[in-house]
Amino acid sequence: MMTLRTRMTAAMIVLVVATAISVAWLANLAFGAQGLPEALDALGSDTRLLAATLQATAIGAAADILTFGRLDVAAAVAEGGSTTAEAEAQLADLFAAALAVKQRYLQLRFIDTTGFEVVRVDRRDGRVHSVPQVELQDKSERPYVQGALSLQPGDLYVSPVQLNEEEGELDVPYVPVVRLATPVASSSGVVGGFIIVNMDMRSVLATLKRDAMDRGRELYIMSASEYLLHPDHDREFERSRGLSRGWSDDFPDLPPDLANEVAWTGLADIRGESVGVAVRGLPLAGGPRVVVLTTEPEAQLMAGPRRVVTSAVLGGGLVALMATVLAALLARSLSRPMARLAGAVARFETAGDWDVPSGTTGEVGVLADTLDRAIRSEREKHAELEEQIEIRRETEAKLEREAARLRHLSTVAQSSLDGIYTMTAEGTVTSWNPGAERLYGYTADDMVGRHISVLVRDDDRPEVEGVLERLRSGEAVRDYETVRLTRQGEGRDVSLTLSPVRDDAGAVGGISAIARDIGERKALEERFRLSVEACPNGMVMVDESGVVVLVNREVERLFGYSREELLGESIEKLVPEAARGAHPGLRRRFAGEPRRRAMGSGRDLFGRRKDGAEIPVEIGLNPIQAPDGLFVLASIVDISERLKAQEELRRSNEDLEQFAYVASHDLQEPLRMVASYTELLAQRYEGQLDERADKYIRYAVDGAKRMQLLITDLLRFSRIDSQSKPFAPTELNAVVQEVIDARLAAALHEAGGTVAVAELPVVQADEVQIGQVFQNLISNALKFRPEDRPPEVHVAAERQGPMWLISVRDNGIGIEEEYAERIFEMFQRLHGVGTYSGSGIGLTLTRKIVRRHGGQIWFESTPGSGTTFYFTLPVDER
Amino acid sequence: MTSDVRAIEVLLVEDNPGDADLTREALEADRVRVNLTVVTDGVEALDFLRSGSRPDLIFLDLNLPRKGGREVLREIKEDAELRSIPVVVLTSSAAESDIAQSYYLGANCYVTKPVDLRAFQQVMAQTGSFWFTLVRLPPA
Repeated sequence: MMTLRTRMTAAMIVLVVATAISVAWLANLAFGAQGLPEALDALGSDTRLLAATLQATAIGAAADILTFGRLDVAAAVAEGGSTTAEAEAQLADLFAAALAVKQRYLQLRFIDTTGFEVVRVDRRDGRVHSVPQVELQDKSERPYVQGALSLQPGDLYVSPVQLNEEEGELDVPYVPVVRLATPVASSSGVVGGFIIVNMDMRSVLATLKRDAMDRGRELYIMSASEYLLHPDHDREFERSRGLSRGWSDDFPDLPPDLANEVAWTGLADIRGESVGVAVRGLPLAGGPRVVVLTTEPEAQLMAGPRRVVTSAVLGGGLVALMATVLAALLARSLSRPMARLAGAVARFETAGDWDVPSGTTGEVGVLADTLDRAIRSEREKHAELEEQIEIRRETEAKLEREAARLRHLSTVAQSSLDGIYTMTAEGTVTSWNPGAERLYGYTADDMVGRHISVLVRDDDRPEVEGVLERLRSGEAVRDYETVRLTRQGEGRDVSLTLSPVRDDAGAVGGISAIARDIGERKALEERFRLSVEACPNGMVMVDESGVVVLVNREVERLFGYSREELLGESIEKLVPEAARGAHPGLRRRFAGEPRRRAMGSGRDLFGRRKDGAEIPVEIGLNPIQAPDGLFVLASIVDISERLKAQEELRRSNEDLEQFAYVASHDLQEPLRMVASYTELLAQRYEGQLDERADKYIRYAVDGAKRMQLLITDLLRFSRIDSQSKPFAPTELNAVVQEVIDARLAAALHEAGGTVAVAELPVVQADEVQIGQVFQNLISNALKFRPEDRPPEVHVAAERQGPMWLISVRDNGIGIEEEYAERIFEMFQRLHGVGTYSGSGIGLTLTRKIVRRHGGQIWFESTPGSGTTFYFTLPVDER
Repeated sequence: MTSDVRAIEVLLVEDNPGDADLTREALEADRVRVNLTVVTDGVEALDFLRSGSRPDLIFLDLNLPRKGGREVLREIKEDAELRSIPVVVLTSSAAESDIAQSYYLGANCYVTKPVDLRAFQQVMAQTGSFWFTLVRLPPA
């Protein structure tokens, strides 16, 4: 039987050795076996992060110039013209601000399509400097000018990383730069130049290099032919500096197509040493490829895990040795501390929770301390590894954020009203948003994996193939208006915007499509077209440059051209040759001040028919402001008929006057005979025949006299226009006085009446005719007098704005309201022949004279107590 | 005042017999002896004059058939033998152009016939009194 001490010693040795072995085994299990792949993964992740940093720098610059390229001020510079100087100054200010903020920008420029610098801001000796016009240069021979000018607005040109040159010499010290450029379109969509930035790559490259060195790694960044970054500074840009060495010989063990590798990680033999290598290839801002390559010696890669295992084994061995030596000494006092220690180890083994047994002295204490140190050392290594894992986690978080951004874009697509879908370059659908479902009736499940041609009408197939071909060649197709079929087989008007999607290598890998429903717009257009078509006037719509875009049937009829002969042609085709030269200028003047108005008001307008005949027309112009410019809708009426009718009316009026004149004049003569001889009969034979004969003779004399009066008035009436005198300043007081004294004296005397005349104005008038007016009105007042009182007439005038209001008031019998309309009509006599004499033409004549003088006449009357005639005459402004 | 016992020879050129009679009536109302010859158109008037007849006074209407009054007036005044005979234009026209033209052609007097009979009679009485009693006519 062994003693307890021997047994305890033996048991302790067994226990301690077993513990040491198990710790070493656990450590090896935890770190050794997976050590290398984990380390290489970490190297790969870090390399990806370095590449991403480099890419972010390039994309930041790309975003800046794309933003500049979309600014109105850039469009204004691209447009040229009178306001350009101001726009150029504004753009220079923006460039200067960008250079002040971003130290890595060396230069920002606007270069026109001839390759000449228009705006240029440099960084010189650390200061931002706007280059004056006289120092601007012709850059048309530079490759970046050629590259940038072949692009569409929104596209990007990225140069390779090159050493900066000043006037043909390499800048020393060497400055690696990247140039990014984007074309700029004017507001009308024409490319007028491009914006280009020169970016200094030194600081970003230095940062990456320092980052790698801090981790004991070596960083190489290569373009297709040379090192952009190398641990040995002299090896950088060898080809650019005229040296023949490239980089491919330096990595013989690596896969030969390393330059094309997107990502690669592994062990390689470089200069006789086994190293871990991580490679990441990327197109810089979608442009030229660069390769980021990191190396780390295998020994260093494995150092962490190996140190953990080694210290665990060494610790175990030491404990075992000491256990053997001290077993005897320990055995005595070990039973309790050993049990505690064993318990702690067991706890560590099961829960990883290390609690050093306290209060233990002597050998067991030493054993515990030693074990404690070993465990702590292992813990430090473990923390170091955890730190690395944390860094990797951060890298992954960054990648996750990028993925989230893409998901966000996808959400936009999901909620868009437009149909948004993607296809392979061959046209097989790869995604399909709800907008597309609404538009076409197909669900995403229906469409993903199917070819897009299910939406295409048979007749459109060849055209669609052509469009796909253009997209595959890298061309974008914007606002392509066509008809697509829904699931129900109905045609739908859509506007498509299709863009090629490039992969990292720049090849067209897919197509994105935005489809907008333009059915409503098309329907409105159609309704507009139908209304124009149905319009009884000729309707022509022209665009800003005078090109006919719409005509209706009436225009075809008026001008004799078919619609096909007019659409797309200049509107001047319809203008008579004599007016053709001036017409474009008139159109431009209208465009400068577009408002609805009659064309050439006050002038005779003519249109030219296809057969060369000219037709008189009236034209109304309506400007229509549309998103794609100013249109003018002209309404054209053929007025040949109207002019003919007016001419006929004028001639017929003339004929009528002539007839009235001749007729009344020729009637005069025989009537004079009738009147004279009946009168002579009365003179010679009155009282010699019987009473009845005398009465008959009297009737005949009366009739003949009335007829004479009628004819005299008719003659006067017909002569108002043709026999009138030109207007001259006329004193109305003098005229009225002459009428009273010379023409109405007898009548006044007979009636016992008075005429009171207030102050009257001087007007532009025909003195004789205006006298006729007063004579008629005053004699009417005397004629229609009451029986019980002498007639009183008042003539007065008062000014009312631009007119004189002249009144002739009497105290006569008045005029019944019911006659108000008829009184001015010809031959309207209100009284029987016997009561009051008169031809019935006096007031008609009066009205005609007043109207001829630009005035109006009317009356107000109270039957039984008097009438006031009013007439107006224009105030003489001279 | 005239002491002539011989009747005054007057040629009246008037196509309207009614008018001619009215004129005759009016002239005859005067106490002066007037020998009135009436012709009814311009051709007849000139034939009468060129056949050697020499009236003391001519009353000439302007609106005449065949040859108008203006033409008759012009030919009389261009004719050396006839031009001294006074011509009184007696017409219904009051147009200024007619008046001016008549005097231009050599009319000695222009009288517009009033439409009203009484007025006409008055005018003819005054005209007659002027020419037959006040004025010395050219000697035969």
